[in-house]
Amino acid sequence: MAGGADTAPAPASREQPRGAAPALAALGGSRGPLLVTVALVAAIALALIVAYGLHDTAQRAVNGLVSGSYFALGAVGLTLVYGTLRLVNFAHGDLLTFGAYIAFLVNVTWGAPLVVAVLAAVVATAALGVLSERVMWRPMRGRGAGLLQLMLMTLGFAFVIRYGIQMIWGTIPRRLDVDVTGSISFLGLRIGRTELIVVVVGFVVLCAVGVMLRRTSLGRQMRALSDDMGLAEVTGIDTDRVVIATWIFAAGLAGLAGVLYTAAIGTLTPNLGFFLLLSLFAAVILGGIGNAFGALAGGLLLGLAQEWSTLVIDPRWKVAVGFGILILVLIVRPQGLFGRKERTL
Amino acid sequence: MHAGTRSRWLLAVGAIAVVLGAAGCGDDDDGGGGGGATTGTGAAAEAPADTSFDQTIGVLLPLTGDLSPFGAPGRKAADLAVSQIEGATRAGGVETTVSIESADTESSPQAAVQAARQLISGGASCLAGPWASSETLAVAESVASRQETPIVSPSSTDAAISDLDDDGFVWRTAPSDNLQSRALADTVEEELGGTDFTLSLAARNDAYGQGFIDKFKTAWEEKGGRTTGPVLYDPEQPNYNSEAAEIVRGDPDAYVIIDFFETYGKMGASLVRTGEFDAGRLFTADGLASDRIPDTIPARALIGARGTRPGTPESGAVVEAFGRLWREAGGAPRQTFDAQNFDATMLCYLAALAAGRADGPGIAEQLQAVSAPPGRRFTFMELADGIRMIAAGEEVDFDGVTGPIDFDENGDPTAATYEVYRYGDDGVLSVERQFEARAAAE
Repeated sequence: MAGGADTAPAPASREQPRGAAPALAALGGSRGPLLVTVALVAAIALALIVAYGLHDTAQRAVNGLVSGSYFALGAVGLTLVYGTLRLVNFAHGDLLTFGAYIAFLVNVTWGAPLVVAVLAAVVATAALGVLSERVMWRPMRGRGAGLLQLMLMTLGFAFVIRYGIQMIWGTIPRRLDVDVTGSISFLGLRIGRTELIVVVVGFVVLCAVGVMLRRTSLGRQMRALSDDMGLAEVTGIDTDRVVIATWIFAAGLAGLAGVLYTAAIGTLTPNLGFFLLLSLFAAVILGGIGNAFGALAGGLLLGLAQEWSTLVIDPRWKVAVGFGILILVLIVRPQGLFGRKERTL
Repeated sequence: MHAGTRSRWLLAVGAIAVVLGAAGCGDDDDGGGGGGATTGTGAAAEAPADTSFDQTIGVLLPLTGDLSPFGAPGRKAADLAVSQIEGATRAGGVETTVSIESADTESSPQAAVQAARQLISGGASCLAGPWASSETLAVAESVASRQETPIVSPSSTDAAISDLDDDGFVWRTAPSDNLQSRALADTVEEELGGTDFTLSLAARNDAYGQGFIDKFKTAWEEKGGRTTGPVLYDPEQPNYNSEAAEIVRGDPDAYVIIDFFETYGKMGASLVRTGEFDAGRLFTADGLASDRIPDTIPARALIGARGTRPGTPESGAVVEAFGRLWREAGGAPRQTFDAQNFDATMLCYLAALAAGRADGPGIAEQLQAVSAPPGRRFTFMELADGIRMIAAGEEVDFDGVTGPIDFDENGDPTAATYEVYRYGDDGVLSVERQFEARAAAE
């Protein structure tokens, strides 16, 4: 069984593409590393509390939680697309940007309430994802395109989206009709009101996606595709439908992430998603590719590491600390914290 | 300065641009003495100079791209300078002719290098421009000192330009950020009524922010003030909650934050969210100066904030004369750094006249001499007298529309006009006063 995740044999997961057993196994398999991770984080937190006091440590943890939910929310679509379709989507960051600009159009240009803008962004971005599948990815898969071609196409798609946005809206920073300066104080800890919304929505959405993947038949089919698309098709799964569903989820969530991110930080530029993309990849890889809970954990760890590091060293190095930890984790666990060991191609 | 941000920003857009940018910085110019080693100020030819030569002044302009708003006014300023020169040569008793060739830098370092090469091969002996600091750095390293042709930028304020190993071929009529950081320290002292205060320092972590805040810290501590920080922050991060907490920690008497609007939208929001930030105690610089607070910035992060920015003198005979000249010529309206380009073009000619020949090394050798003391001071209003004095081999000190200029060893103006501005409750910027800042004597 996929017990000690280090030794999880690939065929084990492959022989049971459906049924509840693999889901349970995956849960069980992630318990070991989860415990180790939690223990490590707790130890670091304790050390920081001793050295810098409870309040500062807790406040930085809150800040880390906020950054972490940005990363996690953006990363979940990335991990879905890679997990299901084996597509390294460099355009994912720009899907976030696209969603944010659709929200800008609806919220600011047309003056509709933010909730409507969020819905419009999700729908429009999901539609863009499906369109890209129909126009680019499906024909390319049909012709047996290699990994490199697909990757370069996603990179090209990213540029097309980004410069398309620049063509329409220009490069000057824009903002949504949201007050980003309001904050809430709780037990002496402060968190921005819009930030709190992102954290809550991030957690709910990610857990929902995680449960969907494990409990629903669509989720099981998606995971079957991720194990072996050909085999899934042979067993009677309507792969086309599942792939479209994957894109609707992945791109729709990217649109949602783009709007929420913008609503929390205040400004948006055509480079918003592009600058975030590397952190999203880091969250995905840290948590384990193709795993929604992994994206959540990876994002939070990255955020915590970055913000806690500002207690110890100059804040301008916080990005390096985050990615340094990514490298360390990967040396110990190449498949990421909660990932399954994969066959190399 | 704005030029700096924008092109920096563009650079970040894609890996390709980054790679090209790195390639541009990679080729260091070949050796040579440090700084701009021009000879002493007394060098303005003892013997009467040869006063019959034809000079082509090249003008590098951002006619397209991010900085295109500066292109047409820049061109007009250079044209005005040349028509002034033409009008004064006869009265000044010299037989020089001056013509202008301009080329588009497309607001990009690569295109600027291309344009500079094109102008030089077309016979230009001195270039006014380029505009963005990134363009100036690129042209300085790959064209100016190699082809021994001086460039005089009207608008590059990056402090790094001072320290270029340029053999004396890189000049500018815009003041260095070094000068502004000292001017800001003076302003803070005056506004607070002393230096017995603790300032919390912060800046975006790039050449502009870090260079500025380090110089400011030194200047403030030399005055006897105390500082905390600086907190330097990466401009591409999603939020700055932890950084903002560091900045407001310990209730400092004032904050000094050096940033651009793109990043300050996020930093400002984080600062306000700390609940302890008071923008009335914030001092900043030209990077956050705009006619009114842009709507991407939370108003509470800037209302009441004060800062410095380079200005041109608003009053005085020279300034008024230049304004009149500009209006009468019709065409493009006034624009920031137009007068700096007028002065740059003027200096190209005056230095050639002092050298007695229109060639790059000769001009480079005379630029400091004609712009700085000792010598009789004159402005473009007394251009004919100035030309006569130079032709007679006398020492002169040209004062520009933008101020006394007085180039130092590095090719920077040692004096410049700064404005102290403040954002009112309605978010509108008002200029409270102007002053002239001078570089401390070395």
